[in-house]
Amino acid sequence: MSRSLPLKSKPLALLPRRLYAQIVVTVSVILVAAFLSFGFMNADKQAAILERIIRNESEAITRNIADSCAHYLVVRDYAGLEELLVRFSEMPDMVNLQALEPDGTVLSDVNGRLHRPENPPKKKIPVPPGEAPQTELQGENLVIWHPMLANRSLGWVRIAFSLHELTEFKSSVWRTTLLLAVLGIAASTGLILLVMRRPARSIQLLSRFAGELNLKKGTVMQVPDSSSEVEELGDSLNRASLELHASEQALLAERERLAVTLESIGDGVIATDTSGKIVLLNRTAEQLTGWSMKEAAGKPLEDVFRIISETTRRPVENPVQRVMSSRQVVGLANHTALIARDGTERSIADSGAPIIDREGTVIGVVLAFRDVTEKKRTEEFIRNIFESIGEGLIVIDRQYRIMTANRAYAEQVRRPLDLIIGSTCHEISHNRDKPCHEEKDSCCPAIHTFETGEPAVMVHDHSKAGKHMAFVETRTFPIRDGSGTVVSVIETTTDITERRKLEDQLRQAQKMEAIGQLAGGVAHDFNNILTAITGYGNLLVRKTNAGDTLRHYAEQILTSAERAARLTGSLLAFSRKQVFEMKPVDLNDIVKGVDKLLRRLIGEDIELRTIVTGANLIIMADSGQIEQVLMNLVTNARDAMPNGGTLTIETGELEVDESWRREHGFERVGAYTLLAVSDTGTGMDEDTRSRIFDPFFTTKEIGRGTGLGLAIAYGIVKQHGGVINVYSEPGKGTTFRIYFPASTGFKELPMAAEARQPAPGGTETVLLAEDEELVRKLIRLVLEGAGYRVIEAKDGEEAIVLFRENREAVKLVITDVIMPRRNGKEVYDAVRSLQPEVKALFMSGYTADIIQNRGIIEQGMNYLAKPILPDTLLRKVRSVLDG
Amino acid sequence: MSKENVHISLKHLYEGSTKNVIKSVILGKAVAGATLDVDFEKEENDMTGQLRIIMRTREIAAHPLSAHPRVPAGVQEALSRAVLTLAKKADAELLRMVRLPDPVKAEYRRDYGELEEIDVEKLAAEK
Repeated sequence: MSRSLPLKSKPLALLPRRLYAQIVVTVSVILVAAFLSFGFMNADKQAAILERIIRNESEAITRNIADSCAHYLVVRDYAGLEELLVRFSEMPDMVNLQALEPDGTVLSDVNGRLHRPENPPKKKIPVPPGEAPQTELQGENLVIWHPMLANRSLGWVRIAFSLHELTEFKSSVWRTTLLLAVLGIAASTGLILLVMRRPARSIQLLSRFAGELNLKKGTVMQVPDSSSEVEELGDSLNRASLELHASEQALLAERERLAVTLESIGDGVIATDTSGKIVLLNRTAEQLTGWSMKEAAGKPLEDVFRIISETTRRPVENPVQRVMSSRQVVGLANHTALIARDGTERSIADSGAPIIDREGTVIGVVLAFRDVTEKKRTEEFIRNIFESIGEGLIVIDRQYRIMTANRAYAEQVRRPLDLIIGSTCHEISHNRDKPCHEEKDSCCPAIHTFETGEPAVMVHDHSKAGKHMAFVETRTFPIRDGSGTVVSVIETTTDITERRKLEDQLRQAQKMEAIGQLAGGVAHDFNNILTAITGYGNLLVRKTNAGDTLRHYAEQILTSAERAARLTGSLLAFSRKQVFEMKPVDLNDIVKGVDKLLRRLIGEDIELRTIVTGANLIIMADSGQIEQVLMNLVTNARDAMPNGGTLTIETGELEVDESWRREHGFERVGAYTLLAVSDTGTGMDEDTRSRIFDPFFTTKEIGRGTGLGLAIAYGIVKQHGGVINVYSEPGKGTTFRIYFPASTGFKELPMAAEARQPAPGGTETVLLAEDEELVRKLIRLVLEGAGYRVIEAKDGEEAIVLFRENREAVKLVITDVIMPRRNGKEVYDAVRSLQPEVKALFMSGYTADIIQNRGIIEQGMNYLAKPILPDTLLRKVRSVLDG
Repeated sequence: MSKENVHISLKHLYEGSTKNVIKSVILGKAVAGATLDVDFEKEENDMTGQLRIIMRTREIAAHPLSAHPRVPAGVQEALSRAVLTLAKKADAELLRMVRLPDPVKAEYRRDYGELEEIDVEKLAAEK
């Protein structure tokens, strides 16, 4: 921006402008002053000397004249006296010569200039008193009185000498002085002109060169031989020219670079003056606004740079005044849109900054803005991705400050996003005021990633608002800058609390399954043994008379065998390998039915409160098993309240939704009935609580518990498709909550089953395949005892051979499922191929579902679980033959 | 000009020159003076104007040459003749230049007798 030259300092008005003249005038003034001083002093001094000389000489002349005159007076020669005076009047500087008598009578009066006497009438003039000579100045004349003496005073001679000479002398001195001064001035002027001619010429050239430096920059001029100062000036100007040229070139290059930069810059740039009028618009700004530089120049910013709030759709305040008043860089509000000349709307991000000159004056405002429409779309896209990720996601800087976070994270930590962003991750995730790695027993995957640059994964607790803790799987990934330095970390946080719970449940289920399999396996083999014991025991009882000692022994054997059978039944119940008789039952009826029994069980010091809901709670269940569960839980509660307390049995309904299902490990959503058993006893710690359903785990003293009560309850509930949960804290009692799937097919109970009939018999031929000899013999005895004809086979292969031999006679094949050399299913398939009409009954120590799951038998086939009671066997055989 | 029978106090002084005579009269050093008219007329008017001619004699020859008594008479005579001779010859022009155009030999009676007849008192009375 051009800047006006500063005004030239005005030289003294008395001095001319030209250096020449200034020097000449100055020298002249000095010379004149010097000469005047010299002239004054010299003239004055010389005039004084001259005056003294004149005075002395005049006095001497006057004295001589007076002496001469005296002679004439003595001889009364007045004419001679006058002649004498006339002659003397011819002396220089004589103005007037008079001879007077002592009384002042003029004897002679000679005009010194005319050299002749004046002849006035006789006259008198005053004379000095006494006889002493006297000298006085009268005007420009020196008047000397001298007495004419001849033993007495004859009178006076009065001579007026002209001091004109003296004046002339003074004038002459002054003239000389002035002449010298003039000569000096002329000489000095000439000399100055002579001496200064070259420097002045050089200065003129340099001056012209300096004046045209703007045009001639970069060139140098040869300074004519001159003084060193002028040469230095020339050198300086040449240097300035070169430097100016270089600077201009650099400036031009810089300007070019800036112009190219400005034009190349991706941001729009608009510069305004202080009144907000546009002075510059770069190419990007032209494209974004739709105005060319030529069109926009001088227009108000608002006309070209039309910005509105994307939120309110209202015009945004012109930033120029705000920038000028604040003198600082001002960023515009977010969500600002630029309306181009053709109406196109673009999201922009911009800022304004004051243009401040060297004097600190704001001379304008520059606005930089960019089209962020695409960026905003991208950001929105990324944000959508960011938000669509179900996992919590944050970005952390090296100070562990959360730069951004998604809503999933906010939900995980249960804090608002605006609070999260800007806070540190240890504050938000762990309620800590310093980084996790500075805490004891703490670990942080983020610092691992920051330090190693490697992703890290870690599971740890995260706090939520309200101090709720959650298990979180945290994965960290590095974000690197251009140099590869890890500048921030992306952290994903997955709330695995539910997963953990499910895993725990799975572990528990797997554990129970394993235990169940073990128990089931033991029970299977044991059931075969018991089948033989109870079978033969019963045969023995039948063969002996009442009161017989052997019968008593047999009855004791059968009693122990029943206990053993119950034990194996419990194991099978736990391992869900027991065959239940599932039918619709009302849970409230079961609770009410066992109420008396339970009251006897718990004793008087425990209050039993039974709270049943009014509605029918129909479930598909084996009521005996549910009673067993209640008995076991109540027994457990009783033992937990040795000093008495309150035992509450409660029923209810519950609608399980998806979140509840996931949270509590239900298999399906829908209606459930609730059976809750609560006590006010000692409660359990976490370790005990985690193991209470394990078989043979007990906290009771030895001999008081088998450790199977809760395990059996667990197995029964699971086999009914239910869920059993326990809530307990030491000293605060325990609550078991059991959820059974509500039966959707029955709102009311069906009619009661018919009363049991005595075990029926028959005469058909039965092929019996059983590898356990004891069991085989027992079954044969029971069947033959009921009138049936029995063909025995000790394995599957033999059974097939015997069936082929007796295919016509055999009406029923009773076969164990698991046998050597052809299992029960293979035997069945073989005989069916020989005789499709033949009927089959399978037996096994395993439950029917296992057998079915293994594909050994098919759904709908007849099955009998070991141990097999004789009546049960006979009813089943009859049922199959008749069916 | 002096004459002993003048009744007024009269003192005769020889002032030496016409100018001195005039000056003396002007200055009051003498009440009157006598001089040759040719000389008087030669003086400045401003000076002579201050005087009144109270008496004028008849014209007489000038006697510029005179001899001291101690000069021998022969010498005096010789000189007189020489001058007179010169006046008669071609050299007369030369004499005229020294105001001796026609020199004659002095003769007291002829030349100065009239002076003795001047009556000073009468002159004073007329004044």
